[in-house]
Amino acid sequence: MEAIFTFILLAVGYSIIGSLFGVGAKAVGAGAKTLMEGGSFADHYSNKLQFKVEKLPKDEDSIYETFGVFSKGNPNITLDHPAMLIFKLFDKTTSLPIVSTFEMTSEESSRVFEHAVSIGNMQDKYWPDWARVSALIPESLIGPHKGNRTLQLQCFLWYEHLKPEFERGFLPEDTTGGINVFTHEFNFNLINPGYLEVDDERLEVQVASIKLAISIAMADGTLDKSEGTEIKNWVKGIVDSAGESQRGKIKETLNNALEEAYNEVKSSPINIEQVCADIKDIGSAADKFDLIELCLDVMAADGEADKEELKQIEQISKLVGIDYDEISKMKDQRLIKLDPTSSSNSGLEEKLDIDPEWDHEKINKHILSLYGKWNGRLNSLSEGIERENAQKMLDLIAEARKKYS
Amino acid sequence: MGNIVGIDLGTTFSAIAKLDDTGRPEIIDNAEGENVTPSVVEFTSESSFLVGDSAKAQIGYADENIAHEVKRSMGSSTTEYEFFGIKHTPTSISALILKKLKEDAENAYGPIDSAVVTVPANFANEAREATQAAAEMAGLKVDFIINEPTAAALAYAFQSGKELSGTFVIYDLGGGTFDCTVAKISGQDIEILTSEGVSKLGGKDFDTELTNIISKKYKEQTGKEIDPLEFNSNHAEDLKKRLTTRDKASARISGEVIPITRDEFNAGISNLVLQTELAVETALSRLDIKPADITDVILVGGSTRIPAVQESIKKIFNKESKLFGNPDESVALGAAIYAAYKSDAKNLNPLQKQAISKLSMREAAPHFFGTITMAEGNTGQLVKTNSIIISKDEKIPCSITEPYYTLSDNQTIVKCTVTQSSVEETDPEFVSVIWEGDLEIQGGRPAGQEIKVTYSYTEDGKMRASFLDVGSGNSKDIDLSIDSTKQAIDELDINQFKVE
Repeated sequence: MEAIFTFILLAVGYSIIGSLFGVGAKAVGAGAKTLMEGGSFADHYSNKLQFKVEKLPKDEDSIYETFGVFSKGNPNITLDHPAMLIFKLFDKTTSLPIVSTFEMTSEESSRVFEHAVSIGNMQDKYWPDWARVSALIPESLIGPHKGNRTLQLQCFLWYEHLKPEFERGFLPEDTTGGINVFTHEFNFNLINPGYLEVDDERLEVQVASIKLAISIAMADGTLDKSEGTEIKNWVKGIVDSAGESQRGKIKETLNNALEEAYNEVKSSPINIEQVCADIKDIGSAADKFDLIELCLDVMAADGEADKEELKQIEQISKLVGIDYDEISKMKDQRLIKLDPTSSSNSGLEEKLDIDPEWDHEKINKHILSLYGKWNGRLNSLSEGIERENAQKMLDLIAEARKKYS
Repeated sequence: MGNIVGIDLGTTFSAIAKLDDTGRPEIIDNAEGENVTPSVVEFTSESSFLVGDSAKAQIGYADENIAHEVKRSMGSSTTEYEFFGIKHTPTSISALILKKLKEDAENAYGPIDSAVVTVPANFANEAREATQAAAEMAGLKVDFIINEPTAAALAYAFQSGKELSGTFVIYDLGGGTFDCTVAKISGQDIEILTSEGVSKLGGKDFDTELTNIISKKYKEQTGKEIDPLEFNSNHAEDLKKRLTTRDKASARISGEVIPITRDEFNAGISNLVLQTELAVETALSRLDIKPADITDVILVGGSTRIPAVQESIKKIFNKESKLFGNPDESVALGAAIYAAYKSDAKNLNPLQKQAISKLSMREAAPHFFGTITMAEGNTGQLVKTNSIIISKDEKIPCSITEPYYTLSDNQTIVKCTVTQSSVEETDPEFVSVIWEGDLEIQGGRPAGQEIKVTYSYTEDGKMRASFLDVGSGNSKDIDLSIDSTKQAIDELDINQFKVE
């Protein structure tokens, strides 16, 4: 629960998928009121939480059409502990889960949709009016079937310190910490081909994504186990979320793609331009961000930010039509967790986004700007690994300065 | 009439000064007759401790009972020390150092009425408040804190003996922190334009690099690891000082002579020195001025004696830097001048009043202060954004109001945050939230109700914030000088310790 006022005048220069889902977290506190104040509470709210899903206004610049999930009423929290809402989505007819192409709205271990929102301490508080608590982006959601469907939104109200780990949409037995479970049904147009159906185009994009991920993983000449595992987990998420009848085909296709890509990259570099051109043509915006997330995860998997890996990710983002600046937050959030000095064969230039073609004046200007950014961050980060990494980044910046001064 | 003093609470050394009866600032020597006191505390039992040279001499021999360099962790809620089963914080340790300075000064000159304590320009708000809390725990009445480079500029303007005019860089490289401050000085009128700093870069880091070099050489020569009893930070500091005046020096460890040249030392610290250069350039570029526009560079802090540092400054500014007086003392001297400047005139004699009569100064906000809001990203969706209200280098005192609007119909609570960052950062992941809380507002109204947010940064370096629901008049006013850290450390009873 953080700030809940809007600042409409400022158009901020980044658009990160993750930020969309910050909306829910921030809006939860909106309109919260203590029960002490609400004299007519019982008449109006009947001691239960209600939900509605409504389309949000879309701006010209928006990449995604978005639906807000709103709630009002009483979550009925009696204990003095921080709580959270965990949202799951199911197709009502088949009772199968909806999956998400966004990592941050997926379960830890699968692609099944999950959006967890902290609501802080809501003891004896309720929402007297509709407050936005989550967001749904049609482009990121894949149900068992495409088209207009009745979806069931399940909201698990849980104590935050006991957050459960769902398994493919379902709560494991003997899970504790639950406060209440609410459901809400609504009609929703699932625009992506269903996972019980075969979406050849999406599969084609996924095959291409594997190829690029392998290319990034092997940019340093080897495929580390951690990098391979990252790709495997990504494929597993797709296979697990596919319909029973399609799983075999998807699994075979993607596994073959993995093997072929590995063999291809071993013998000669893949034609990134060509692969990206295919993705640019047929991939959705969500597919492209998903690809970049996969690439960044593979890059970070071995604990090093390799120069070739970073170079390729930058190239890929440009080729598939995503402004590299738009993913700088995603990248920085991974880089801050990596030891920038650990990559034995990375050059300063790649680690610091320096284009060796630039003249010295431009490079030094860039170095100064990097210094300001990372020194500022160092001063804001608490003691710990991220602060240490920020310090190492400053050391690298000094190295670069030495080289180009 | 009691004394009004200025205190430089340093990472490695601390110093205390006052205006003498003629209105000139002077250092007050400690009980051991030294002008500076090592910021080191050795606990000798649950309730007894030593501060200063005697504690510093025990480094390497009784490390488990010694606290030093605590300034680097000021304001940290996670740093804790334990000696003889009693827990201490950086603030409580700092209080013991300040207590020693206070008692030595009072024994020499009588009671201290009030004090000004200095902090690095890049110190975060919580570190500033922790410093003030430490002073109060030590029994000092501290109404003001001042940035170290500003204090040094004051000392320079006050004592230079000539009418200064121009734009000056105060290059402050102490034991633990580095600050580069740019100021306009005209006579005794000082205007701080900007500061850029590195929070953990100072003499201690140079000592560490030197220790690394010696350790490596020792291992190459003997095949053994170095014994910390034979070569510790005190030895490294001593060797560093010798390399300041000589091209080569040696360390004698377990009978082995380990030679080191100044060039080797310079190579070891080159990255650290380069970081100071980047900080200087960042400060200058922020003001859009060139090194040639700088009238003079004022050196502050003992580490500015290092030849590689002086060469670096010469390289940037293409001129010799100036060692004015003793760089270990100028911050305390400036703080004493500021203490007199801010004190009630009735506490000063006519000569002291005359001495500060022409003094005037304007500080600048040391950080960006903002609030976390929802703003439109270029996807058109609302994204979590840090919105800046007070910009770094804003002239202080200042008070700035920005309008924001509620998000939901019938909203009754606004979640308010106060953030701090060293750069103009929009990403909330990379800012420090220094306060958060709720503003209750009147319900039954549509979204878009105006919330006026006002941040004030006072002349005494304190921050206040106000969140006002314009429609209902409800407001939340926060004095950011009273925070939970301070309340927690206030609970520690300093009286359990007695100076031996």
